[in-house]
Amino acid sequence: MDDIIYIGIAVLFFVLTWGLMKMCEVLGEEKSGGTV
Amino acid sequence: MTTNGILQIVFYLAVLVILVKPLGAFMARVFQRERTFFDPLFGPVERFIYRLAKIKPEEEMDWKANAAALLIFNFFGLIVVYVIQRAQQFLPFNPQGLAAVSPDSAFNTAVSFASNTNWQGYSGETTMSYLTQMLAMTVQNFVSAASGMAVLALFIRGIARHSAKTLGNFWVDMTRSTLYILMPLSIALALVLVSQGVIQNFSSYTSVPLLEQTTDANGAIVTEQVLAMGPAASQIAVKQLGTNGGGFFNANSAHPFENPTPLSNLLEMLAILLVAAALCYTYGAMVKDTRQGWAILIAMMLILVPAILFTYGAEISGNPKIAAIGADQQSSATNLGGNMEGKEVRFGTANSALWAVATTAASNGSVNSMHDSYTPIGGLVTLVMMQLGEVVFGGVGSGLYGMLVFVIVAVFVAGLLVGRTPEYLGHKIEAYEMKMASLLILIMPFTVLILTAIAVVTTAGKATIFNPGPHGFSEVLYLFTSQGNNNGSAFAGIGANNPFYNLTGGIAMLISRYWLAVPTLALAGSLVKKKLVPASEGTLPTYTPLFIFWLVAVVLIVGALNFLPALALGPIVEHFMMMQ
Repeated sequence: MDDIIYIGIAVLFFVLTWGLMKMCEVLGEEKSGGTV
Repeated sequence: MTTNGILQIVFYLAVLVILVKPLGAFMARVFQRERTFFDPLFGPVERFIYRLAKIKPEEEMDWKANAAALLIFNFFGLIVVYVIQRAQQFLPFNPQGLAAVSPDSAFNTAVSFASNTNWQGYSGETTMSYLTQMLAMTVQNFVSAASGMAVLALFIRGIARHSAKTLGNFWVDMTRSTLYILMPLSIALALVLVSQGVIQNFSSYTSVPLLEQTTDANGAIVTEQVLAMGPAASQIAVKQLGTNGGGFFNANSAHPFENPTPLSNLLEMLAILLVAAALCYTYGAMVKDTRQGWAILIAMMLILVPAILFTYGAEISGNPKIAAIGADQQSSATNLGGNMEGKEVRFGTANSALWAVATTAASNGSVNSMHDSYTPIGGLVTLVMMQLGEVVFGGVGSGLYGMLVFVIVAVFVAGLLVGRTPEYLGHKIEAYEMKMASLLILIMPFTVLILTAIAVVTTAGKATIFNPGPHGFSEVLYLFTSQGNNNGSAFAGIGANNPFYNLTGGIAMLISRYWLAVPTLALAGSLVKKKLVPASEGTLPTYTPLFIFWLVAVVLIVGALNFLPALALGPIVEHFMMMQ
């Protein structure tokens, strides 16, 4: 059970990091009016 | 300070600087996929890896694809390290029959080695089998360092190129960093270390008779000592070169099987800063202006050298509380002098202080003395070196891309001060770049300070703080500063191998590695698209002494603003208590 929790935490973190990547991408698109 | 000590520090720095250009130029050739003298040896291996992994080396990627490659590769590396630790009792090369690592410790260690932090809440010789040390730790020592170097190579191309879309190929940069840079250097260093007495074997632990019998904590007579064995040299070499720092043994490089002689000590210390320093020259070579690389190296040195002297001065001055109980701390022909608590007599005060500053500057984290026993000022310097964001040399790759972010901030602020459009090497610095730079500068202190605050107010956090008062606070602050900057050195003195600290520390390491790497690549992706702005009379030169001092000031001011209040509660107040 503990193994699933800790691996789940790692998966959750990398999903959040994926979200950060998307946020950086959106901020970049806003900069140039969506024509990056 | 003694003349002998100063001479050793000067010799170390001189050798380091001499090696910067040849190694830096070689690494530039590796990243630019130019022919090197290792091509006949590693070329076929490189091509085999590409075929096996279905990598198209000529295919370049934008920042998002490269960031995705980094995240996917490191995620699977983390899972592999976790599974090996949890299953080690069923796997071979476990002559001591060591049990599975606990889930929380396995999580912390997997994150630690995948993120190039190499914080160790465990004791290597009583926890990890030889297979775990080799297949999990040593492999990650190579690929986590190479991941940092690959991100740097991508970032440098973002600065070097204009009006482009791609930064390069993460898989190629990582493979070439491992094969052409880390592997040859590690093999050479491991062989020299073996010649000095660092062990490399698969033997069971050995019992030897003590020269003088002693008693254990229960009063029983002890006549034998168990000597831990194992394949140490192959891990020690890359642990230093890749700014990993995770020791094979619990005592790390204070252990005579990891660091047996003055020569091994010098070589291991050189290895801590060597690649990170040489990458400055690599940067200059790749942007076709080596002055840029030297300027950054000088800025790093301007912070490093005073830090070494400050720490050495504090340690050689000794501890008045210890002097008051009759200990002789004066240097003489028969006494190394200074505060020797927690230091190896073999290395003395100068080499301990030099190592402590180098390892905290470089995000290495290996130790040859115990930082918890340093004077408050000595401990303060090690904390500050990490709290500057690990940009003074820092981790291989990550340190330099962190410093380049500070360069961009320095250019931006200088532009604001004189009313000119900030630009760096032909790139206009605009709002998006500053948003990414702000993220990069704020994420680390936010993580470190919030987690420290949680630890000192919660029951779980306080349960294993054994030292009361400011020293206990320093230990908690050091723990999260170290993990939150991917350093990995320990102040020790605190019980960190429990679910609370393993989980919170693991989160700190994940954030400080990947939530900084992603905005860094986004920043590079933005820079690479910009049109070339030709240099004019209004362009701020970024290689002059004025800019170097400005850069140092920006790094120090940001660091002080972030951490001075916390430092005042820990080592600063402890110093005044010591002087009472």
